[in-house]
Amino acid sequence: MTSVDLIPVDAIIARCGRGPEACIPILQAIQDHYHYLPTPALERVCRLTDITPAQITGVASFYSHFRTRPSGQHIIRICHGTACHVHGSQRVQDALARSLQIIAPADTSPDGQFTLERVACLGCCTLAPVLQIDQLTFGHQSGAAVPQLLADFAELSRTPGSPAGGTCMNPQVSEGSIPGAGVEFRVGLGSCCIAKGSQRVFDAVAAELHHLGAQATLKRVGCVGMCYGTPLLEVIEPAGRRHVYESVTIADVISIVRRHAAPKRLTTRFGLWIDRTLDRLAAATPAVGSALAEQSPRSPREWQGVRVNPPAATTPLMLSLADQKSEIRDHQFLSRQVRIATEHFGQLDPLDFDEYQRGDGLDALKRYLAVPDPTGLIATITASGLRGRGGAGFPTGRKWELVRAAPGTVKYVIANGDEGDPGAFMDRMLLESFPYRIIEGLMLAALAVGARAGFFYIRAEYPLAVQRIAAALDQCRQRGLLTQAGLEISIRQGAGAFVCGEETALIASLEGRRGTPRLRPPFPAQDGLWHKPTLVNNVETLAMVPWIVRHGPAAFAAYGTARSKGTKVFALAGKVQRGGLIEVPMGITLRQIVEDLGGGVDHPEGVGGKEPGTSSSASAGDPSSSASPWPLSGGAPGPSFKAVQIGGPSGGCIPAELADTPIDFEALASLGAIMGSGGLVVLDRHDCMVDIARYFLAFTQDQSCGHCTFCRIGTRRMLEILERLCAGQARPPELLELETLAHQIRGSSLCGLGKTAPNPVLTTLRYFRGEYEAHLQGRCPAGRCKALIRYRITDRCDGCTLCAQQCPDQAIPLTPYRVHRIDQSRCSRCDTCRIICPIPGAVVVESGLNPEDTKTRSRQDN
Amino acid sequence: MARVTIDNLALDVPDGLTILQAAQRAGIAIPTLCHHPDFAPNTSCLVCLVNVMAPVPAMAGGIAPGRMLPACATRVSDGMVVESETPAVHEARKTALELLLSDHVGDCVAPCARTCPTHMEIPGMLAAIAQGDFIRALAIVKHDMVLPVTLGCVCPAPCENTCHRAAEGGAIMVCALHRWVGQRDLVTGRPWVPPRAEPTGRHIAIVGAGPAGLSAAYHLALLGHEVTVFDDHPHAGGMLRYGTSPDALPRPVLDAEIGVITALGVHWQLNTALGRDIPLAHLQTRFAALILAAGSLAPSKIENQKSEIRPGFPVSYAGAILHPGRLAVRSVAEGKRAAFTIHHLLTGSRPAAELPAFLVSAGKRNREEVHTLMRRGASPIARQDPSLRTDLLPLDAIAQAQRCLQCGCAKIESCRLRRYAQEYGARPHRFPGAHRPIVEIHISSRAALSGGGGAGLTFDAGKCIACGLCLQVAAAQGEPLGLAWRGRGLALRPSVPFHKPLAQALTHSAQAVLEICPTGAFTAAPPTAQP
Repeated sequence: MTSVDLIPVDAIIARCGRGPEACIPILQAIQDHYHYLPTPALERVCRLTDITPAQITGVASFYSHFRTRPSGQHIIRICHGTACHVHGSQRVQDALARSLQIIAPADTSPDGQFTLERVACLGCCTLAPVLQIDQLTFGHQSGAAVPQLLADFAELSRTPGSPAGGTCMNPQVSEGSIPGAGVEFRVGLGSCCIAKGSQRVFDAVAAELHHLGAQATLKRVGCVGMCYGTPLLEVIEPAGRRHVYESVTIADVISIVRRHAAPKRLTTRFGLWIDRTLDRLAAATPAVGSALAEQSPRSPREWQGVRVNPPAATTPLMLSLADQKSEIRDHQFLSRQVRIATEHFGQLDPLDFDEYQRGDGLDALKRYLAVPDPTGLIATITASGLRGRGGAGFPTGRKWELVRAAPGTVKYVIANGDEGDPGAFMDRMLLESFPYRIIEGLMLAALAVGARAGFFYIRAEYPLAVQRIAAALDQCRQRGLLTQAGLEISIRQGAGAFVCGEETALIASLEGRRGTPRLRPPFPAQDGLWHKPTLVNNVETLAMVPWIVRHGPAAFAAYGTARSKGTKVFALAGKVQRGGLIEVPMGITLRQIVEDLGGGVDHPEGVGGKEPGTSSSASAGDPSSSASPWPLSGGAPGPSFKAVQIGGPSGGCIPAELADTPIDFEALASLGAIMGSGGLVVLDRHDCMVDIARYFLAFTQDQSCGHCTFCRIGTRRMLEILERLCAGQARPPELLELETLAHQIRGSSLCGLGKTAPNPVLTTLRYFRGEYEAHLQGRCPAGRCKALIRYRITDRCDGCTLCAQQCPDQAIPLTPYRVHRIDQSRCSRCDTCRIICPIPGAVVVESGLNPEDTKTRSRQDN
Repeated sequence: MARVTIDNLALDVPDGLTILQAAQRAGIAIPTLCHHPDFAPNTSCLVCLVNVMAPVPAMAGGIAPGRMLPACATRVSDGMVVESETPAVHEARKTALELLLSDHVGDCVAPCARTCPTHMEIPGMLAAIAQGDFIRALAIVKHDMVLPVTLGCVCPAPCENTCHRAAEGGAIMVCALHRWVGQRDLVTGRPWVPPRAEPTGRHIAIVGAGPAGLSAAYHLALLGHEVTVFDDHPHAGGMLRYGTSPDALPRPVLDAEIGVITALGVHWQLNTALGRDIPLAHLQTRFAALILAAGSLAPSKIENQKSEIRPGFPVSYAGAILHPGRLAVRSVAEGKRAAFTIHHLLTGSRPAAELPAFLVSAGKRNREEVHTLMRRGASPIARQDPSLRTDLLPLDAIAQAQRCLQCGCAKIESCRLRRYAQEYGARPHRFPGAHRPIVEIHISSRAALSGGGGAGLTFDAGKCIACGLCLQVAAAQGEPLGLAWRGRGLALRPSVPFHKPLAQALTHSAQAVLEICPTGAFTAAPPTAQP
């Protein structure tokens, strides 16, 4: 082993401290420096601090971010969140491993360039499947796109300081713009927007404004929630007219900016007029060079700019058919929403303290700073009926009361931003977009319970959220707000452990230990951080507090159902047309969310023939096949909207038939799911429910802390049965065993996460038992489980050879102008051929027993 | 004080006690694996689950009535109703045990001893041979098995088929070695006769002098009974004598081993056919009990006589009379079992069971695992060519015996996992196809154990149930390095920080760790083990 330079370790210890609670920050700093945790560095930490070898070994091996072996030059993190999973993240990972020649158990390419890591969720669900290479995020990946992805990355990493997503997290207002004058341009810069290129749009707007010298403001705003339309560019004209441009590209920026911002200099205006005239000529002459065409403004059809909010105030600049459609679309998406936690969405610069204060921000806090009245504050929260938004729905006021009543003078408040559920990104968005609001909520909570110290515990996967909370806290500190409240607030980052979202595990993690939950009682309200009474609230809960204080409990309680008041923020993703972040009143139905807000499922029937198994004609043309146990997958009739996965790994799948149930804590529980933190992943008929259950159990199993028998071993045994089901190897009694074990784990696990781990299995068994039974017979009705499906090329194939060229397994012989054939023995079911094929229905997915078996069987039947 | 009801028993106990402590005060036993009174509850094994049916003082919604909670960590509260001995609680405990067993890879009893119908303690015999203690080896053999040389000549050695060492250099030559041990004794001309128990004064008749009858006679005689063996052939031996070739089984060997039985005081009534020469009714009046072991040579005759047996008369059957098989060692085992049955019927005392009622097996070991297990001190040499087995020199025998992996668990008696699994009827194979933990062995060969005669400590991660007690002991005893958790989820196991050797982790607490470990994960390491 090469010797390790240990001098940086000393500096890290000096920076992070020497107590046991510094363990995780020290390890994070060591890993930042060395890209892994060299043993000599850990031994040095033990020599210089109070951290014991047992503690550091336990912690380093508990959190999945810590590496014990060196990594490649670049780390590729592939998100395996729910939305990414249903969009084929495993195929992307397989394709990457193949093209980088990474063979398990190695995780680094032979040339030492790339290390491949799975991550539980990057929280960019609407861009699924997503991956990160170093700091750059790439969305909408596919196996076939991997070579392009690697080329793009090589290109981007060659240009230093490139404006690619993620490199510039804190843009400054461009010097060319003059704040407070003229037109205002707003660009949403949440981290998923950045991943989709919002930062580039922002920079391009800045550059163009600078170029024009226009009188305009360029403003960074938080998340708008309309993830389906990002990058979004909103333009507010001095008269108040608003225009929202969706899916803006860099090429669009110039024309949009020129449309709204008047250049200062006359010469520039004249130049622009000439440009426009030329553009018009170019548009009239289709044969004109592409260079010119690129410069031309988008034609109305391509423009998807519409006004929003208020919709009827003015006439949009360019109203085309497309505009009207998308306007209706956005109206549907936005009109049903009620903004409490996400109040002023898309309008605030997340880090502009003055702007936050200019509105009604800090009003609530100031009221109680001026006249301390903790009991009144708690009474307000209690009366509002607010319940914890982290999952279990415990009454917030009650929790505050318990912490306040707990004996002792030292108490703590913790904002839980460890949003580990795959498929959920509400907390990230709230932290990124409304940092001051959450800080205000946390400060109010501290005032109410009598705490003098507070913590933010935020996932390390959310660097932008951490940065913004840190910057916002700095602002609050500089302006004396924290001193005024007699409060100190600091930030701790997670290190990759889903279980740390559980409050006792979170506290253990804050104390620098392994994130292992413990038996409750005693509850943190009595015995929490360093054995002091501690309040742990989810960030969404805290984000609602200022609004409740300002508007009164009745205004909040006016929304919602009898037992679940107010609104809930959901992350809507999966197979839905308009994914995004929504805040809706409790009591709304899942169907309203999916169909009205979300616009129904993604890719309705037969779009481009890309659906697996659109080849119903193939089966119709072959009577024997339709009668045999060899049905074509996806040929099943019925609505495409199949189910909604709600609540992540602790939640369940609610079938479309029950989507009219109004959402509240109790209603969801009665359906076998839970509210959870609010991830909503829409599933369509191509999603296999057994596979979904297997996916969640794999997640739980991977994230189990291992402390208690039922979760540590039990979830693994469940996963093994599910894996056999997906491989078509399970026997009928195993289905019963799966159910029995699920009930036993639910009844006997130590912590809430263990108790809820079987929910995805129990709900799918409850509502989709038929699919489980089909798997027992070796059939995957959704055509998803690799071992039970095969790809076939039908006679529609015109022999274009595209699939044969692209097939990574060389399973398709190159036979031009003849119908291609797939060599099943080589096929790895990577889906590349189906994606690449330009002919609808030429590549189909089939499920069932081997056709040879089928033939044998039907012969026997005869 | 709090009033608690545990299994309908009302108790007044001080506040702050756990349910486990309260139950212990009332004499109610609740099983625990990961709990030790000296340390804070680990709440890991969940074998101590009880059904708690009263609200615990806490945030409402936290605990609903009727929840399974670990008794070791749940504190009593006034009005609490606890169920410990109900089917639901037992089912939960049983599932916890079954889950633990599914992740617990090891052999309670070595597969050779388990497979051999006589369940002879083969690893013990091999250990004795390996140490050159051939007398002890013979005693171990003869404790469980009559005719070790004879069987050594004719037995197809099912024990060797299950030997884990087969994956590396071939199975241990068990059969040749017990034959060798016996042969070494026979050639002295005065073979060793095991000591008999105090005479019981009971006289038992055995019909059939084949392997089953000989075995029954041998064991009954050892237990202190008078035994008379009837056979219609002129010589004892049954199929061994009349069904094998003298090349395979030299008759002097058979005669010499039957001589040992005679030396134990067994009477022979040869040339005497049941029914023809001696009626069954006669046997029932003259003898206290009867064993019918007239196997394959005269099945029909016995069949005819069976109906004449007086109800309530102690009778047992053994050998080929029970089955058509011709495996001599199986008949020998049945003879022994019949002897034990009769002994139990006559005296009421049961000889020590040959095999524990509950045991787990590691299944087939692959080569990699065997390599790991060999670090516990097995010799790396290969199995000797079987054709040479008659010419084993003492040094060869020792070398071959040293190949043994000693698969059986050193803590079979004290293992609490096994004890509770047996008590709760846990099925070790409830979860077929379960993932197998990676077999990992850590050995501290230093004289770490106080009373171990220079023995060190072995940690077998496959048998670990991640209870955490070893970490607690090491920390409590102020070990500078100590033990740490490594990994999470199913991979969770104790480990030595920074991949240091086990000896450095446990400089003075090895004995305490060995004692507190509830399973065979920590055991004493043989002095030959390689750290």
